[in-house]
Amino acid sequence: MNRANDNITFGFWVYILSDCVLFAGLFATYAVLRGGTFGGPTPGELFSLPFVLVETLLLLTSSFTCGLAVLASHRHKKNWTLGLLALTLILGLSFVGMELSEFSRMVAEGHSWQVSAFLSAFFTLVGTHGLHVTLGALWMLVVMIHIWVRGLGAGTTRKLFLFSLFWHFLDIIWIFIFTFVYLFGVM
Amino acid sequence: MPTLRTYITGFALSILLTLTAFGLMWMHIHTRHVFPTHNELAAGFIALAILQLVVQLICFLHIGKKSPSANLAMLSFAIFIVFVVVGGTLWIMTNLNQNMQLNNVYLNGLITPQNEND
Repeated sequence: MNRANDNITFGFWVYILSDCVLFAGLFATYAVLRGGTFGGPTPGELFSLPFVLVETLLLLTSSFTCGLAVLASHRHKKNWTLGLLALTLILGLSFVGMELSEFSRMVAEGHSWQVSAFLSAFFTLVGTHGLHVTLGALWMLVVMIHIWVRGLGAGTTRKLFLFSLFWHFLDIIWIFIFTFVYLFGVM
Repeated sequence: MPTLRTYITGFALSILLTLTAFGLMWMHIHTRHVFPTHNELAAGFIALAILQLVVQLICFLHIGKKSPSANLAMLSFAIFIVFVVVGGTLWIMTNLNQNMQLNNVYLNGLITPQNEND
C-alpha cells in the first residue's frame, strides 16, 4: 500500500513539473509579445497594483490554510480538515472572482484578447492560471465530499495531500505572474 | 513530517516577501523613479520572487533534505528545462528583433488599427 502511494505521489509530482513547463512556454510567449500593444495602452495603464496585491494575499492565504488542512488530516481531525478546506475554497473562489472581474472590465473597455499580441499573451497566461485555480477549486470540493462521506482514511488522506501539492503549485506560479506580468508591467 | 511551525514560517515569510516587492514598487513610484532605480527595482523583483519560490518549495511543498531524492532531482531537471525554454526564447527573439527591423512596417504608418483587417 505504501509503495503504491509512493508511486502515485511520484507520478503526480511528475505531472506538476510538466505543468510548470507548460507555464514556462506561456511565460516565454508573454515575454516576447508584451511589447506588442498595437498602439493600445501599455500594461501599466491597464493594471491596478492594489487589486493584484489583494488577489496575491487571497491566494497565498488559501495555500496556507490548505497546508493547515493537510496537517489536520494527519492528526485525524475531520471537522478541522473540512473547515480549513472550506476556508481555502472561499479564498480561492474569491481570487477567481476578482480575476474574472478584472478580465471583464478589460474586455468591456475594449481591451480583449483579440486586440493585440500583448493582450492575447496576457489573457492566455493569466487565464490559463485562473482556469487551473477554478478546476482546482472543483477538485477541492470533490475531495471535501469524499472526506465528509468516507472520513479520513488512508485513501482520502492521500487524495487530500495530492490536491494540496496542486494548490501550492498554483500559488508558486502566481508568484511569477504577479512579478513578471503585473510588477514588471507597471514598472 | 511537516509541523505547524513550518507552515506558519512559510506563510509569514511569503507575506513579508510579497509586501516587500509591492513596497519597493510603491517607493519607486512615489519617489518619482529615484529610489529604487529601474534596474535595482527589476533585480529586486526577481530576487524576491526567487526567494519566495524557495520558501514555498521548502515550507509548503517540503522539498529538502528529508524528501525523496527523486523529487529534488526532478525539480532540478524541470527548472533546467524552464531556463532553456524561457531563456532560449528570449535570446532568439531578441536577436531576431534586433537583426530584422520588422517594426518598420508599422512605424511607417503602412499598417494601422484602421486598415489592419483589409
